[in-house]
Amino acid sequence: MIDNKIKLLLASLIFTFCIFSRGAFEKFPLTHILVQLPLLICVGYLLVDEKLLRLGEWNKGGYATLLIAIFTIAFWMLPRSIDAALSSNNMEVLKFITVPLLIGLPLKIGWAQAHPILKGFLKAQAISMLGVAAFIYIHAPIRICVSYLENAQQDLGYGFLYTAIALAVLWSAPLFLSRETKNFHLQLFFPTNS
Amino acid sequence: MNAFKVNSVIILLGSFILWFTTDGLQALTTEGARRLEVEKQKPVMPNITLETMSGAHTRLLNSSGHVTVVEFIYTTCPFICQVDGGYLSRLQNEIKERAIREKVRIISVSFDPLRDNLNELSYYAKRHNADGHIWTIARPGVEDLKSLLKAFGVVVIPDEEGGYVHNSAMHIIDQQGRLSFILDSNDVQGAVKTLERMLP
Repeated sequence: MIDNKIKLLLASLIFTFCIFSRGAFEKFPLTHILVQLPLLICVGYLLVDEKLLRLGEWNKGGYATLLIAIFTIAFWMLPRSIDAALSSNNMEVLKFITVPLLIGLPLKIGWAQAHPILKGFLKAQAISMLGVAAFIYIHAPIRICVSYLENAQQDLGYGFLYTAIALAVLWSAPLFLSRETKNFHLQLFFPTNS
Repeated sequence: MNAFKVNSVIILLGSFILWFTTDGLQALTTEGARRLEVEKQKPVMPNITLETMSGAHTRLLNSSGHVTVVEFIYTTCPFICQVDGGYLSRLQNEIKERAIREKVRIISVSFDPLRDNLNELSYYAKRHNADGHIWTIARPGVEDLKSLLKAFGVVVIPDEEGGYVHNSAMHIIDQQGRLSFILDSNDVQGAVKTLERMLP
């Protein structure tokens, strides 16, 4: 399918870009965490084709693949993992492999099969987690990563905060835009007596 | 395989990996991991030669049964190293009043040996009342610097004002030359207690 070929091409382009822009993106934690890692997640996302979306009984409800993604996210959320990626080549290679293949790819597969309530739960979890991380990174009295400066750490904290706000807006916008829920919510917030 | 089994395996494996990489949820940061590892492994430090502020030479590991407190600094540091100097000054005074004074050395080691010449080291000592007996300011040879920082696990990165930022702490080396404890720079009381425990 031509569509898959384009996706594959795009994935390899982004992946190559991430490799060559390593130095620039990894100079600051903000661009390392909130630009490079999301781009690598996109790479995995683009690798998913129709066949992978129907994985079979073991991934019922998308739980197995979502769990893989969540544990891998937890691993790369550890400040010491990020430090290690900067100081050790093996960890850097591990990052470039696991972020696309164990976060982006399974997230897309699992998401497609997840129940709407589970999706809502995960979205709420993501926003609140980003909020907590924002608070920690903005207010921590110590340097959380030994590889980065304290003001760069605060920049990342604000990055988390704005990402949380952006996701909250993005994910609640459909309530006001979709045909089924639009009128209900508009009435709720902007009541008219008609 | 049914979904339940697969999910259980993923949860177990994932938890195990996270448990393993955080030393049992004890160290989430590199600095936390460094302190934990030091207390468990007590690695032997390289016995390099340091040049003290008086121009004399001394070894990092001292054979006459001293416990050594090492702090990394650069003397042109505008902020943290000066504050840390104040803490070490207090530590020096505390030690002077105790029986352990004959068995403890404090060394502030510059990781900027090219800029920190003997004048700069002496000036830093004067500012913080380092007596040159218990507490001295010293610099390593340029060729030893990298291996020294690596052995201690100290990461130095340049900041935006032409200075440096580093994980500052008090490193306590025992009488056998093993790095045994890493304490916060301001934990003067903790350091005194640790030293008294090491030197009964």
